[in-house]
Amino acid sequence: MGTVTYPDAQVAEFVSERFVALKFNVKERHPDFKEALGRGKVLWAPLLVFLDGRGSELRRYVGFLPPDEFLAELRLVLGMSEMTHADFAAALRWFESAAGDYPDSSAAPEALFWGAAAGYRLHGLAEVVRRWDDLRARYPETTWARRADVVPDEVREKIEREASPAG
Amino acid sequence: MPEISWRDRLEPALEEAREARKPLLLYFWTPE
Repeated sequence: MGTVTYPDAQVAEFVSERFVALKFNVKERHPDFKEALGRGKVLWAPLLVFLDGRGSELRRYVGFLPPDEFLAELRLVLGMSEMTHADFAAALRWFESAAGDYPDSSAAPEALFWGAAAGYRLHGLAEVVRRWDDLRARYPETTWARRADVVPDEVREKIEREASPAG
Repeated sequence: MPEISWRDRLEPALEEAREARKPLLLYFWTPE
C-alpha cells in the first residue's frame, strides 16, 4: 500500500487472506466515498479505516507503517473483529500474536491491553489484573501501561483471598 | 509477488466481509 507497505509480499498476502479491501483515491470522485468514510474526514493520507461486516468502525489510523508495524496492527484489528463476534478466545489469539510476534511494534502494548479485555471475558477479573500487570512490566513507559495502572489494592486483595485455598 | 485484490464498491465488499467474517479495510490514498 503506497510506497512503503504495499510492495511487501507478506503484507499483501496477509491482507488478501484475512481482509476484504477497498481503496479510494481521495482526488477522484467515487460513488461510495462519503458512505465509506462515515462521519470522519481525510485530514491526511493515507488513512486506513477498518469496518466489521455490518459497517461499524473497528479502528482507523493515518500514515504509512513499515511492514512489521503494519502486520502487528492488522492482527490487532483481527482481534477487535473477533471481539465484536464475541469469540474472545480467537480475539485473544490475535492479540497475543500481535504482541508475541511483533514485540517491538507500537501495537504490541495495545495488543496486551486488549488481550486483558478478552481475558476478562474468558476468565474474569483475576485474568485482567494478571495481564495488566504483565503489560506494565513489559512496556512500563507506554500510555497503555498507564491505562492498566488502575487496579485498587482492595481488588488485588479480594482476588488473592479468592485464590487462596483457605478462602 | 502476491497482490491485494482491491474491490471497487462498498456494498458488495461489506456483503463479502459479512459472509466471510472478515474485517473490511478501507484505504484512502492520494497519488502524490
